[in-house]
Amino acid sequence: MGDIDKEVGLRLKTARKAAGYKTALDFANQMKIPKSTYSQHENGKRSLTAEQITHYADKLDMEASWLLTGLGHPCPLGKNKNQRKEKIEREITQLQESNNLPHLKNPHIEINDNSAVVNMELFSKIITSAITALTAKNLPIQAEELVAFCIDVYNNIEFLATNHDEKNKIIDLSINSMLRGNHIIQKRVINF
Amino acid sequence: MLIDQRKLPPPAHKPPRLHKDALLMSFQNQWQIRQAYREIIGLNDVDHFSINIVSPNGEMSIISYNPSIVYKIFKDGTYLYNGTISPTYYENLDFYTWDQCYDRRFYSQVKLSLQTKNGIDTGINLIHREFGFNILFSFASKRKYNDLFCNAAENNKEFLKMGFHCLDLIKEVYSQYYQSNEMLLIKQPNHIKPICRPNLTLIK
Repeated sequence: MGDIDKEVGLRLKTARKAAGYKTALDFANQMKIPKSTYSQHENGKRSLTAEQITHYADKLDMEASWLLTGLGHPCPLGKNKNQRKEKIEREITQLQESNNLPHLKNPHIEINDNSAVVNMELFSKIITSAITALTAKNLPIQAEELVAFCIDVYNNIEFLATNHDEKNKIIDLSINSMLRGNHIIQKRVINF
Repeated sequence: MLIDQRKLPPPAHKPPRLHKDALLMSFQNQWQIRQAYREIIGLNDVDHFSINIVSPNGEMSIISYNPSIVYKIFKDGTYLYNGTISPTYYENLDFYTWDQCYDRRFYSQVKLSLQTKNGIDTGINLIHREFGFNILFSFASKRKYNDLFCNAAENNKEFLKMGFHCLDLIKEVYSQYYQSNEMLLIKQPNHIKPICRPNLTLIK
């Protein structure tokens, strides 16, 4: 079997452990499939169909797209799921460092994307902070400009390996830069 | 805070001396930096740009289009081994690629932190020295099979033009961290023609 099957299998194994199934047998029993079939999926000896990936992802509460490609967030984002996400990311990093999984770039969102997996909690915080600050200072800004800037801030913060407080501090720094920048533009306009 | 450097093996090249605000200065001025640099982003395959200014007292300030890159390499300590901002290189070379400076012992970790995770394929630095300042214009491309290296090698005037254009736009940002008029004296050398900015009011 190819490298892709092995990579998918390794991600499946990581997800299975993170979901609390200690052994492949536990999960195979839960899924009501033969242990040998499931083990072959995990060690990449048997290819998974799209249907099987979706089925496993559903049962493990994972993102099927992540299971297949390794891009994006491993599990649906939510307040109670951060701990599991961190655990999975730690294990994935270990697998990458031991060269069992390829390194992938951090997925960034773009303004032209038709769809993307977004950490809505973080994105909402950024856009709310920006609008609140602009309203308080009564500063005008073009909507497209604001959204593009908030996406940039998001891309720069989402994948920082730092704690919640530090991320909040960085959001404030970025939003303040926007307020100062807009003041400068206004001053220049008045000077003309 | 930054990692404890005492626990790490000494880098193969001289480490840079960073300004105390270097970690966060690009976040503190993200809007202004973005407005300035996006005038050149996209030209000549450039997807990332940073101006690193070493003042006459030897302190380096980093003004980057992607503040997270700076933050990550400082936090994980790989900046000590990536060499691209090391005096060993910027004091002796005028043009170099990023990966030629990586400490060979930590090549894969450095490349992972600086390039792979940020989707960067090629990175190059062009150096300008004047009035005791070392100015590092750092360009990078995220595109596969890009011509960044060849373009920069063959048309380095074009790249310096882009660099000086942005430098003029961020002098105000830099002046918050290094209060001296010397930086204002640094102008684009005469042999490099300035970028022609279109007068938008004339375009209907």
